[in-house]
Amino acid sequence: MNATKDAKRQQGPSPPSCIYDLIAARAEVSPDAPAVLAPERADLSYRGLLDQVQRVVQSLNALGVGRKDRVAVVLPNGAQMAVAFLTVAAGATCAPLNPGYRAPEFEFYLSDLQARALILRAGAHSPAREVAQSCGIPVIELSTGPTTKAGAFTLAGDVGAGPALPGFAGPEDTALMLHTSGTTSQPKIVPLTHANLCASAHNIMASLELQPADRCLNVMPLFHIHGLIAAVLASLAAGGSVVCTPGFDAQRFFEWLRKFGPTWFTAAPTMHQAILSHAVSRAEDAGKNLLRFIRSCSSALPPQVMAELESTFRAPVIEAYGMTEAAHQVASNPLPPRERKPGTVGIAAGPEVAIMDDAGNLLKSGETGEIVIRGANVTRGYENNPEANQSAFTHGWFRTGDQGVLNSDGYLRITGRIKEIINRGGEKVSPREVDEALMEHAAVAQAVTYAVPHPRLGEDVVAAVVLKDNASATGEEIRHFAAGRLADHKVPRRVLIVSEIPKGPTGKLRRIGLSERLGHLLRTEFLAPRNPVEKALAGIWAELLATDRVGVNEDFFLAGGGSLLAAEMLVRVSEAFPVEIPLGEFFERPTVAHLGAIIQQLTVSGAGAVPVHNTPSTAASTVMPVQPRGERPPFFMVSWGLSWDMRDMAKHLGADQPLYSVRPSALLGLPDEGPVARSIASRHVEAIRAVRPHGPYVLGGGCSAGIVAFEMAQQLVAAGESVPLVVLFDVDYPPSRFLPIPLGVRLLRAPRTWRQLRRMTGPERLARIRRRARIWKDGVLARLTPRRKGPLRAMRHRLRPEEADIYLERVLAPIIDAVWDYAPKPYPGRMALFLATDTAIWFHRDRRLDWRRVASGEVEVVIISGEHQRALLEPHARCAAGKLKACIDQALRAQARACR
Amino acid sequence: MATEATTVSDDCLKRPYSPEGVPWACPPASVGLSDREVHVWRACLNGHARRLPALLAGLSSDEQARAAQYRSWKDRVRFIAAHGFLRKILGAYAGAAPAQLRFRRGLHGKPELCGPCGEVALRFNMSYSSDFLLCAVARGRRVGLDVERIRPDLPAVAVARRFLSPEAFAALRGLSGGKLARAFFEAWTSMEARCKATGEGIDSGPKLSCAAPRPREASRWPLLRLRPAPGYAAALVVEGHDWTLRRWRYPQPGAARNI
Repeated sequence: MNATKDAKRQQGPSPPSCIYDLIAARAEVSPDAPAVLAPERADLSYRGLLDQVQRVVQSLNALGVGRKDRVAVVLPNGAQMAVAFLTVAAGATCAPLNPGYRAPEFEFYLSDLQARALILRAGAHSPAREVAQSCGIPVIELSTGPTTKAGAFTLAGDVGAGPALPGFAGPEDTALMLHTSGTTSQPKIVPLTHANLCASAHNIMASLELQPADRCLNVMPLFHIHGLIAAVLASLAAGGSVVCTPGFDAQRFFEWLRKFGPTWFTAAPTMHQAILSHAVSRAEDAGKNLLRFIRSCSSALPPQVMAELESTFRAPVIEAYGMTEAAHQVASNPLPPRERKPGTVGIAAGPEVAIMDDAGNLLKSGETGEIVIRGANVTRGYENNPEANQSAFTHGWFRTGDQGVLNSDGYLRITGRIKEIINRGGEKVSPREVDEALMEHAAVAQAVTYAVPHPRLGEDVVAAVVLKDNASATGEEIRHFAAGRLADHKVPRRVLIVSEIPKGPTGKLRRIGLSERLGHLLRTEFLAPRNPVEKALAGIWAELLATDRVGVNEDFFLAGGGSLLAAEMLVRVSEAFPVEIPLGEFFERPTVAHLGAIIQQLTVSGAGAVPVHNTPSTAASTVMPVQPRGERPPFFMVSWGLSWDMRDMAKHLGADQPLYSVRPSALLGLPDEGPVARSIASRHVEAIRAVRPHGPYVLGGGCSAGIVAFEMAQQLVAAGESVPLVVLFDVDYPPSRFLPIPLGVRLLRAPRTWRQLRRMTGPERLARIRRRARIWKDGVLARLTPRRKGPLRAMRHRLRPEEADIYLERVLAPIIDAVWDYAPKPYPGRMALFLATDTAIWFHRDRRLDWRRVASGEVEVVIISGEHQRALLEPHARCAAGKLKACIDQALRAQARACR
Repeated sequence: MATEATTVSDDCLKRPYSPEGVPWACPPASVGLSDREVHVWRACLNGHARRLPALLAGLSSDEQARAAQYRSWKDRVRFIAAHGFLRKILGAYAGAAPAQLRFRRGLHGKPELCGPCGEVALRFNMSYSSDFLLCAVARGRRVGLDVERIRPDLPAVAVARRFLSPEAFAALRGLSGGKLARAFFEAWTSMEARCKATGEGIDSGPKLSCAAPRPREASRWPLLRLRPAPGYAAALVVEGHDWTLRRWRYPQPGAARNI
């Protein structure tokens, strides 16, 4: 019988629907073809396998076991287990159990199954033996000899009374009984008939186009449906062969690949990852194999792993989806040349697949709901469990408990397990989605997201992560990484680094139960404040909460605070730090650690920002040391915090260059009269002199902040201080600000713009055109009425969303607007004009170089790379820092010369 | 205790509602709640040491877990008492034992009754501060309630400037001392009650969005200021009009027990 592409189309007689017929049909066509192989054993042919089936069923019948009797089988993984399954199922009901269970588990499973007998290896010491004896279950010994072929064995034992039903089992007899994994509730027994199993084997055979020439390398455990049906039975249904290894061993895997030359293998994603980590060291072996394809099933395959598998083995990876109740396969990606879609589990490959809502209605493609299936391979119902069957079957469809969506091509995407969806304060989070985001981090090998109880939200999201070998990252870094990829409510509250995640025996990562198991890692131990920001915060909290010490992970509300006290606390925090934190943001994570992290994000990061203590808390400006050490004259950068600041430059400027950031605090208001720039500058000068009473001072500022820096330099020089250099980064000269851009220049830029537009997609192009139109409109308005907020609006369009923060709204907007009506006076000192090259320098040049008009000292012009907003940020920061340093050196040398 | 009913915009209401009966009276043996009434209960959170174990046993497992996490014993006791009384009060209306009630978090974490014994139409909101608990119950109408003990040492002006609407802040100008404190707390509780009623929650913007409701919104959600005790400010916001207010006192131990 040839394998057909469409399993439903039949050629000649219908495909065998019981195991005996399946093997017999193959044995008739090719009796000497290898069926079962094993390391260190001779191959078992189809004829040999059929003989084995006949002999075992006869033995069982003689021992008193017949059809409808449940026989538990506890054997180590390998050819004997595979053949035991086939032979026992052919004459009774086979119930394989994990040989790694302990006595209590054996007790539960053996009694739940109502096992009539237990098959064990002769002389094996297994807890199952004692349990069986104490439960009164007779043990059948399985033995092999030194020359026995792979999978062959003899049985001996004494069961008792004669069998009820001798002979070979038929299609409707239960062949296999397996317990479901029980991750969400008590394990249930799934009975699968011969018809179920054979239908499934044929589905798999069809979707993978298995031929007699195919050989499968089985590494999956044979007490679970994946290995039993996908590897063993499907191979036999096609007339191919299956290599039964003693189990999964990533190191020996390549040895087996070489020795047996399989054309495919199937495994769970965690095993694929283990194989890949060994493939790195055996690159030559992997490439030579003639694998036709690699199959993955049992849990979600991360796309990165899929890509790596394909490139290492140079074979397509077929991701499939299945479950015990479907006798394994439900859906599968098709083989090439049809499309495989990473992130989906493919199209229906056997049973019918549909999406159902809570009420029992089938949904259309594109709508998310519960995945439901029906077909010849689906079990008729759980054993002895009417409530489970009641809830699992609706209108003849079996509810899988997985949530998913079918796209218009029929590809199924699984979005999570319904019971595992985390309900965080009313918002639903799919743990699988979070896992995928975490897996994108380069250091993460495995990630499992799960729910933990939360006093206010009900449940909260936590993730446990295993790092790759030789990779290092902290939980906070990974959490921060995830925060950039997920909506806020989906971001895990904590990311725990663990050395391994408890897995089930089939390689599935279990979510349920992790909360209890890893709970000890989450318990908030008292952590003292670790940096000046946290110390200051803890001090404020301690005062308000009337307590003597506050840990950084302590919940404000559990420590006795209420929402009003939180409001008072945030007001105090704003007095100490130039940030405003919304109350809602604080409620999300009301800890000192998180608050400290926000503050550090909103202010200049670097060596730890701390308000200088001798600045009174009612000061209108704040000076923050970014890097306070060093012997060189300190560099004070006036910063609005919108991107012209030192955060990326700091590390390139060296440890001997002190750096301070100066910015207006929340308490600064607009002066009642006079130029804004002058008033801000004088407050800043006061603040600077509180830090360094006397010069030399090097000042700098970007864009509008540069005007303030210039005025500060004027005031300091007038006060007799030494200012070797003032650096203006891309600062327009206010009086020249609104000169029109010449038309000729616009035409010159046209070809580049055209090329960019051509490269974009339709919606991108539209968005860009809209953006440009807005900027143009604001620019025009600004020229017509310079007093309006035009420049600020124009700038806001260019800001990244995360930069347009509340500080901009409350404090800066009026200042930035007003600072442009400054009229610069002649300046005697030395200036450096840094110009960003990418903003079409030739027509901004006039505005930015006109500072030379007021400079009576030397003016140095330096070109730096990058766009106007990004020239001091990575990746331009290193180069800009080098040039700045050189500039400062030059200024100091000039000053030294002048002093001589 | 003087009763006070101040609303945001009187002229928007169909008829001015007035509270009925003696305020904070002892409730009758069985308290019925029609859908034209809103009941507010006041309970004192002190002096219940003997009842605590029973109250704790009536809480759900996550409420008990949360109670255990409180740092100070006083806060823990208040939490247990507040949630225990809440269950008793709601249980009386729903006709269920306190331990049978199930709560769940709706949008923005607002607690709601759910489950087989929860009367879904029964809406409530609870707030407690220092010694007193206030709980509002209504049928089919959303309610929001906030109570705060007036603390004169709070930097009212700074907090108001930052968190309250400009109008509310302006109203505080020129006041000082005790008057300032009371005015601030009334404004704060009004704002919180509104947030909790509409279920918007404290949002993450710079200004609390419910701090300054639009006039049309304000008329749909009438505001009532309550005076549960000297030195406390409280506000109640209810959805819709045409309702009367009844205020009950939760019986102290030793008094006649109706609940």
